[in-house]
Amino acid sequence: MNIIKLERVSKSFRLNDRNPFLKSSGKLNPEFSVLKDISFELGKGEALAVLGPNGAGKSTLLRVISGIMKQDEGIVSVHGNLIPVFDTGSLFRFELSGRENVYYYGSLLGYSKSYLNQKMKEIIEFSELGTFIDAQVKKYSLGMIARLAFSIATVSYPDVLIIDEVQSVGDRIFRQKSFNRILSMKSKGVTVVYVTQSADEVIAFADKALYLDRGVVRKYGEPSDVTLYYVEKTDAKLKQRLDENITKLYNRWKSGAEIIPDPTPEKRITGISGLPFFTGNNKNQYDEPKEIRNKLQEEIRLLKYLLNNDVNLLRSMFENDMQKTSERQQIIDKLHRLQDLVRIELEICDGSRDALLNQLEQLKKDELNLVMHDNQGSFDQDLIKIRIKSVRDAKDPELKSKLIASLYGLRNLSNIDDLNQEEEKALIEEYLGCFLEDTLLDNGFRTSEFFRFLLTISAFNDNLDRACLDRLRNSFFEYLRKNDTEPTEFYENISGTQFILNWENDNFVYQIIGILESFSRQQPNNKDFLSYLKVYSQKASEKIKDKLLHLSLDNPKRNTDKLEEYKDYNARILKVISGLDETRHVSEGNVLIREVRFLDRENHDRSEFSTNDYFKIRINYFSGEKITGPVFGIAIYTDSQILLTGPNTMHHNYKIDKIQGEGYIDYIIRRLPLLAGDYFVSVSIHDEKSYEPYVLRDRAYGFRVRNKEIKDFGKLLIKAEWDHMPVKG
Amino acid sequence: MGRFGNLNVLKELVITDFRLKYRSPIFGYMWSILNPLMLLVTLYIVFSLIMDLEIPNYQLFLLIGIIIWNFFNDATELSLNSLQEKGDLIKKLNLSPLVYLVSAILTSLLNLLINIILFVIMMLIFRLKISIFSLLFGLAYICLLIMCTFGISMIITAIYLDFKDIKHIWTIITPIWFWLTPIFYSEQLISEPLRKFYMLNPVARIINHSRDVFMYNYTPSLEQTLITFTICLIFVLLGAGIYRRKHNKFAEDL
Repeated sequence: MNIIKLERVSKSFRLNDRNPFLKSSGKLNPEFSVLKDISFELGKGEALAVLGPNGAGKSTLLRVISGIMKQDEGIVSVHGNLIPVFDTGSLFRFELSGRENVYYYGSLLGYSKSYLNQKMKEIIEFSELGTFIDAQVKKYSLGMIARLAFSIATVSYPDVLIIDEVQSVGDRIFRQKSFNRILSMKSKGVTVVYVTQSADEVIAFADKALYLDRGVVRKYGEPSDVTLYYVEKTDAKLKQRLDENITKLYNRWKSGAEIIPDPTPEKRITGISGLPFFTGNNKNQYDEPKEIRNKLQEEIRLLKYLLNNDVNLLRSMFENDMQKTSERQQIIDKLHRLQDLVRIELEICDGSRDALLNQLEQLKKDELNLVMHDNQGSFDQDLIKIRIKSVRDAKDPELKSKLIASLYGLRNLSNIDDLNQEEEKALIEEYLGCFLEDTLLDNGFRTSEFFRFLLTISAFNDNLDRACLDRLRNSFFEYLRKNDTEPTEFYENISGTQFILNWENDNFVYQIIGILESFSRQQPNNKDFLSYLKVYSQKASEKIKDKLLHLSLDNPKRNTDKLEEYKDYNARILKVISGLDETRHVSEGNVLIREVRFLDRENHDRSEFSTNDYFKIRINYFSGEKITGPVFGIAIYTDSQILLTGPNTMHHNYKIDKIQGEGYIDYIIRRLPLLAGDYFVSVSIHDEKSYEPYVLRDRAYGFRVRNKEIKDFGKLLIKAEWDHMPVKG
Repeated sequence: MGRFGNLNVLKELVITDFRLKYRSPIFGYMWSILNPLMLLVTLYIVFSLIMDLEIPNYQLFLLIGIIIWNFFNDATELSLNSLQEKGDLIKKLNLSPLVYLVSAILTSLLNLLINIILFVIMMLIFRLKISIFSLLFGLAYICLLIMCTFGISMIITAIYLDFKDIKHIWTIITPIWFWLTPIFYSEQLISEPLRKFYMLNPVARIINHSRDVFMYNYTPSLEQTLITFTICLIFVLLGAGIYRRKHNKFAEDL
C-alpha cells in the first residue's frame, strides 16, 4: 500500500496580492502555474528526493503533500500522521528558552506534554545544546536553532516526514547527524520526502527521485538516473568531467587494468563527480562506451547505496547489537554481486583494533572479498597483510607503485612477517624501478618530499640493497642536474600518510645518519638538496643529542653500551654537519677552520687525556682574505651539553693583528682540571667588532678524559682544601 | 483541511501568548490584573466625580459595557493580528488556521475572565446582590458573545486574505461601532424607529441583557433572548461559510 500517492496534481496561484476592485488586476497579476500534473507514489519506509532549480515548485509540492496548501487539481493521499519540517526555527518564540520552546514547538507538531517530558532528555542530547537549553532562544546561534528544531521534529517516528532542505543547513557535523537520523527513521518505516540541492544527498538515502523544473516533472524514478540528469542539467563542467572520467576509466579497463576505488572520503560521497567505481570483469561483453555508461549507472547506484549507508548499515552489520538480519542479508547479497565486478575498498575511520579484527572475521565468514583500511595510517598486521595482498594482485604498474608507496608510509613495516625478506626486497626494487621510471622522471617530485622519501624507505629497511639505493640516489642526482628548478608536480600518497620519519626509533636514526653521511660524501652541488641535507642533519644531530642527554641523566652506568652508540653517531653526524659547512665555505672562499687538533706536551695528537695533563687545542685555519683583529673562541661542553668554559682571545686580551692565509692558534691548559668523561669542543673565529662569526663549528670536535687515581665525582677538579674544627662542649 | 491538532496546541498557544504579553521584569504577570484594574478604577473614579448622568450606579453600568466591549474588540483585533504574527506557523505547519483563530479568542477570553472577577469584586463592594441565577445567565450571555465574536472574526480574517486593507479598515470600524453601541449612554436616548436597528447590534444586545440581569435583577424576555441568539447564530454561520471557502487559501494568500 502506498503511504503517499499523488495523482495528476496541479496548482497555480497568483504571485501578488490582488486588488479586487481593479478589473485589470487579472492581467497584471496572472495566475502562475506552480505545479503541473505531478504524480508519484511512495511506499512505507521509502524516501523521495526532490530536486530542481530555484523556483521550480519544490517547496510548494511539499506543502501540498503536507496539507498546508491545497491542490487545484488531482488527488493527494497521505496515510498516517505527517510532520513537516520546513524551517529551522522561525517557528520558535525567541523570548522563551530552548526548553520552553520544546514544549511550544512540540505541541504545535502534535506531541502531548507528557510525551515531550519523556523525550526531553533525548531531544536535548541530540541537539547538543547542553545547558544552553535553558537560555533564551534569541541568544542562540543559527546552528543551535537548527539543531534544536530538527531534534524536536524528528524525535518521534511519524508515518510521514517532509523535509524542505533543513537537513543541509548547519555545519558538517550537524549534517552528518541529520543524515544519520533520517536514515534511522527510514529503517523504522518512516516515509520521507525531502528537497535537496546536492547530488550526494539524493544518492545517500533516496529510493526514488524527482526532478522538478518550473512545476513540471522532468525525470522521475531511480535516484542515479535522476541525479545524472540533474548533474547534467546543472553543471556543464561536471558533465564534462563525468564524460572524461568515464572514457578514461573505460580505456584503462579495456587495457586490462583493475581499478580500485578512490578511498578519499570526499570523493566517496560525491561519487558522481569523481566516478571512483568501475566494473571490470566481463570486458568482452561491452564495446561501446554507452553500454559501459549504462552499466556504470547501475553500479553507481549500488555502490553508492553501500558506501553511503556504510556508516550505519554496514557498521550495524558488524555490530552485534544492531543486527537486522533481512537488511544484512540484502547488503551481503549486493556485495556478493559486486565483488565479481569490482574491488571494494572500505575506509573504516575509527575502528579500534578489536573492532577491526572482528569485522575481518565477519567478512571472512560472509566470504566477502573486501579490502579494508584505516585512514589514520595506524595499521594492523592483518590489515597490512590485506594491503600486501592487494599489492600483489594489482596489475596496473602505476597503481602498484602507489600501493607500495603507501605501504612504506607505515611505521612498523619491519613488523611484517608475512613477507619474507626476499619478497620484500623484490617489492621494493620493483617499486623503486616503477617509481623512478614512471613517477619521478615523468611527473617530477618535490625535492623535499623525495628527500624524505629516500630517508624513509632506506631507514625502514635494513636489508635494502645498497646498490639499489645508490642507483636510486644517482638517478635522482642525474635528474636534479638536468632540472635546475624545483619540480612543481606533487606526488600524493594513496592513503594520505606522508613519509614519516620515526625519530623515536634508534635504529631509524642510525640509518638516517648513515644515509646522510653517504649523501654528503657525494658532495652535491644542488642548492636545494644541500639545504635539505643540512636540515635533516641538524635534526638528526638534535635528536641524537637529546637521546644522549636523556640517557646520561638517567643512569649512565647502566646504559654504557647505548651511550657509546649514541656518542658514536653523534660524532658522525657532527662531522657531516661540519663537512657541509666546509663545503659551503669552500665555495664561498672566506675563512675556514682546516683542522682542530688535541695535542699533548710533545705535540702529539691525542684523543684521550688524563686529569692534570698538559692539554693543548690547536686550531688550524685558513683565511682567504686579510682579517684584522680576529677573535678566536673556544667552548668546551660536557657530554651532557653543559658549557664548562667559553674563552676567547678578546676576553683574555690576547690581541692578534691580522690573519691572512694559513695559520694556527693554540689554546693551552697546563694542568687539565677536567675529570673523567667525554667533552665536546666548539671553535669559532670572528671579528672583534661584531658577534657575527666568520666561522663557527659548534661541538664539532671531541676528546676524552680518563684518570686512574683521582676518584672525585663530577667534571671539574677544583683545587681546594678541607679544614675541620670540632666545636667544644 | 489540515488537522486541528489537540487541545494541547491551544493550551500552549494561549499560555505562551499570555506569558509573553505580560512578561515584564518588575511586576510580571501582575500586569494581567493591573491593566484592567487600573482601567476600571480610573473609569470608576472619573465617572463618580465628574459625570452625573441620570443613571444610578453609573459606574457599574459603564463597566459592564466596557468589559464586554473590550472582549469583542480585543478578540477581533487579535484575530487579525495573529494572522500576521502566526503567518509563519500557518505556512509551515499543517495545522488548520482555525487553531490560531481560536487561540486568539481564548486569549481574549482569559482577559475577559479576569475583568469579570474584578467586576464581581466591585459588585460586592457595591453590595449588589449576585444570585446563582444571574451568574448562569451571565454565562449564557458570554457564550452568545463568544459565538458572535467568533463569527465576526472568521469573516474578517477571511476577507483579510483577499483584502489586506481590512486590517486598517477594522481599526476605523471599531471605534465607530463602539460609539454606536450604548456603552456610555443608555439606548433610551435613541428615538424609537432608529432604536430597533440600533439594537440589532449583537454586542449592544448582550450588554443590555447583562445589565438587566446584574444591575436590575431583571430577566430579559424569551423573545429578546431569541432574537439575540439568532443574530449571533447568523454571524457564526456566515463566518463559517466564508471561512470554509477560504481556508485552503490561507497558506498561500497570507
